[in-house]
Amino acid sequence: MKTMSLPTSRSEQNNIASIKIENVSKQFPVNGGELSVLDNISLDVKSGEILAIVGRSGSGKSTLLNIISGLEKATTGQVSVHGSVGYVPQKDLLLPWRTVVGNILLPAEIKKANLKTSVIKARDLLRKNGLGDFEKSYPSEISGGMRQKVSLIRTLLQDSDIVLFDEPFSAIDFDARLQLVKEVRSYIVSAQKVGVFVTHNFEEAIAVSDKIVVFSERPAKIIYQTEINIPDEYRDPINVRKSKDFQELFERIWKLISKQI
Amino acid sequence: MKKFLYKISPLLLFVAILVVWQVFASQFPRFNFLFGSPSEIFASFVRNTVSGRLLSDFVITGFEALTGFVFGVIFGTLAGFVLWYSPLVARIFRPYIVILGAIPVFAFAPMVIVWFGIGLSMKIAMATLGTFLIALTQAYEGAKSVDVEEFRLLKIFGATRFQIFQKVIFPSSLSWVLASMKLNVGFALLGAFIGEFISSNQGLGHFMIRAGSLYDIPSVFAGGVYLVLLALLFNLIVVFVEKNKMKIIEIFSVSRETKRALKD
Repeated sequence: MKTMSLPTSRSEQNNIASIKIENVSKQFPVNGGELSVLDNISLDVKSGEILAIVGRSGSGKSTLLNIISGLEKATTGQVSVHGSVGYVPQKDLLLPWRTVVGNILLPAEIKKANLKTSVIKARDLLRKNGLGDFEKSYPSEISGGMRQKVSLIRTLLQDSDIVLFDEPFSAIDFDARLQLVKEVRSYIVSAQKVGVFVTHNFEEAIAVSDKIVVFSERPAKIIYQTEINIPDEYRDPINVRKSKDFQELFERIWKLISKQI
Repeated sequence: MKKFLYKISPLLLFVAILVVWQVFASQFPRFNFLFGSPSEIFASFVRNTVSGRLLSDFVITGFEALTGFVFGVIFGTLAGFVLWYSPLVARIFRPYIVILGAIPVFAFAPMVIVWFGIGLSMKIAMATLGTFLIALTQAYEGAKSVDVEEFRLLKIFGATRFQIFQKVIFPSSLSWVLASMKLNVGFALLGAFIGEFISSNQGLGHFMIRAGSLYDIPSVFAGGVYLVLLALLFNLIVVFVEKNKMKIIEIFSVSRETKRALKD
């Protein structure tokens, strides 16, 4: 059950999904004072691209995802998001009282989408990912890795133009994770989606992304950004080490992050 | 053998108490006057059951407490969810709920008599009052304790506040509601009993108070046995609801379209 098959997208052509963020800052009011979380962040991601955001925990990465998904407003700066947004949370967040397939159908149910086609797609994906026998199981009856896959299927079945990943693979076994990183990348690139991948695992970040930005500690500033040009055959957290730029990139990011201690 | 003894050990204690009680009662008349004896309690239990007296009182008190319990739990739980649904309503009412929670509800008894008279409806009102606030607070706390991350996820899915309530808040606070129901079994009985204590011509409260005023302690205990039976019966109702928790959630929280789509 190592492989993960992701859905095929309806919107392979004429995709204009994009995220453009200019000089965004975010402050939260905290008893009288203000807590500055994001400081003058600018980035853009086009369709078919994955951006990885690397930084220590509490550096405001999740706040940025909230701003992109529209749950929070930036205090200053421009945010333009074109396309629907899907979100793969860090915890699987499957509802314990719904079956596996019931959880996958939740977004469709909320949007009052065509449930018949959703069911067919959901069953197909479950079967392809070795979860066919667990359709009617409850989340408490399957393993953590399986739950995370179900969570991923739940988000990707929505076929959103933009997919936000908030450390999505932290609960998954190492070998399954290698495969998932690869699959997620080929899904985003081939379906011309926009991917934003938040992680503190920079091997994973280097393997999956086209661009990396490194956040400083709070308030987060971009202290480093670079494009990643690694051939597809090296795109998983093990093989990526063999690519020629990896060592240098890894050490540079490591220095930036470790300085923050 | 050891395992069997372990299993029935609570029963052994009960039997031991009965034996000691019976011996004391037969040896010391003063003790017998204050506590009665198991044999007399049994005799009174049988006498008043056969005559139908205790049975009709059991039905009356059961009806009062159950009706109050149902009203209190339903309205209280609904009110608790309304407080979650509207932060403004919560903001306005919270201080009053805290104050009301601090007053023993039964202090309102004199007013309840003025409003409802001294009949059956007064006892139902007392049982409702006794259960309402607990149901309200539990439902509200349960709704508030829902995982922020789940809440956030549903918002990203584009859920309305009612959908969030339907899909996440209600299912995950149901265990809080069940906990409030367990507590309220006792409070509903207490409410009905106090109502009968204040003024009544029927019901287990009436039976026990009358027996007490006649120094007929065995009959007080016999009535108490029926009260315990009522509490057990109510608990069975709660257990039934608990067993069907998943079904209740499914009925309320999974849309009909989904169920239909999953069938074929």
